[in-house]
Amino acid sequence: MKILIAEDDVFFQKFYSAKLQEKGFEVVVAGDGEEAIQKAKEAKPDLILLDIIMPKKDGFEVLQFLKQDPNANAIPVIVFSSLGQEQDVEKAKALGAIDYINKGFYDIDLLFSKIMFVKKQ
Amino acid sequence: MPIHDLSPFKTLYMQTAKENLHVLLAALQKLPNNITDKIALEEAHRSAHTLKSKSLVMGYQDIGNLARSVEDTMYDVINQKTSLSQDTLQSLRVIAKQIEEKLKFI
Repeated sequence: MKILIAEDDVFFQKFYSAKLQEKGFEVVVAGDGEEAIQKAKEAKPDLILLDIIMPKKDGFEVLQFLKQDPNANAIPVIVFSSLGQEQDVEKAKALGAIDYINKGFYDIDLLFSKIMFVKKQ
Repeated sequence: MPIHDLSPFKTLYMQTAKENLHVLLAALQKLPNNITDKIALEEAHRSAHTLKSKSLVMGYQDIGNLARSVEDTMYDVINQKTSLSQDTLQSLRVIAKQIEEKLKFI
């Protein structure tokens, strides 16, 4: 299973890449919103983990773009959220995200369970 | 490596947390001259947001909470829920300095 991590911070790129690779997932990383759109089209991931606050294009813009693209609109998207920004989660879900994970609360098991749920769909 | 062993990420945390703090301090330094500087507001918000998240992931709760207070303030300013006063800016600078001090002891 191939997962695209769209995240501008190097710490989170490497942290989540390492954790996912340990579990046997193939990982592709994008460092900003424009790169996320490009890699979603080129790498054709099975799942996108999408940060909201990113340079060039934010997560909402990326979601809007992907959901309008017939070559990418079927890729499930899980949004990285933060505590206190529940309205952002609702906005992301309205734009087509299937779920969210709180980036500031380390629970890799919860993330894996969400990924496995997507895999079974 | 055990799945919950975070020690391999400590060096990367320190390196990137210092970068986030540098961006935050630079943005807070620009704002007194123009409190509606959109780029500086967004840089302050984004850097505080990232610093908060990675600090909480690594278990540095106190740094995460300090960064969260900066993030929340900047979020409200950007979304026009509150305005940014010089007093608030001064408080944010104090918080950023507290974060800087705490990072020295990790």
